[in-house]
Amino acid sequence: MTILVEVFLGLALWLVLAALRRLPGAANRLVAIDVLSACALAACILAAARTGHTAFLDVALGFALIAFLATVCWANALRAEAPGRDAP
Amino acid sequence: MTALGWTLMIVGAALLAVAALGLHRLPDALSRQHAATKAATLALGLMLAGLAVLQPGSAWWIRIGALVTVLAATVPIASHALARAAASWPDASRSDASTPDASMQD
Repeated sequence: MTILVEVFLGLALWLVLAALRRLPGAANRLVAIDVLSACALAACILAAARTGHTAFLDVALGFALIAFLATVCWANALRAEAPGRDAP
Repeated sequence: MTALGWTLMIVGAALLAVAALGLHRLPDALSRQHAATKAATLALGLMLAGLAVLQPGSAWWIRIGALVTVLAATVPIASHALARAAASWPDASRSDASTPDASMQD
């Protein structure tokens, strides 16, 4: 019964990768990559639950910080490239 | 107690799949960001709560508390930056994925 966690996580990964292929524009792909990093964090938490090692939570903590910095940097770079800078 | 923990993990993973489904169902980048970040944050919180139920011990709870704090602090900032980036692109935020010609432009 607990295999449902892996099943739903695989479904989420498949949907995110399909969205990454299908959606147009850089902003949509940035949102998809943000959800992809959430899937990676969920995989870290699941690995910690399966194996019983706390080291996977340390990995998840570091990856959360890296994903936050990457998302903010890419969002600011995307906003700096925008054609109409007076938009809100 | 184990059943409660795995139930929370399953609900969290299903909510993550719903967040990924929201990327397909919603029309523009701003509403996709709205669905994806909030649902993904709740999904990760539920999975961490299930892990806290499954694995008792202070070594686990310290790390889980730190992870929840980091997620609650960083995800709103990241989603705000994403929303500003999506709102500053008029073409990308209006692109409807259901129309065929909007998906052809880069």
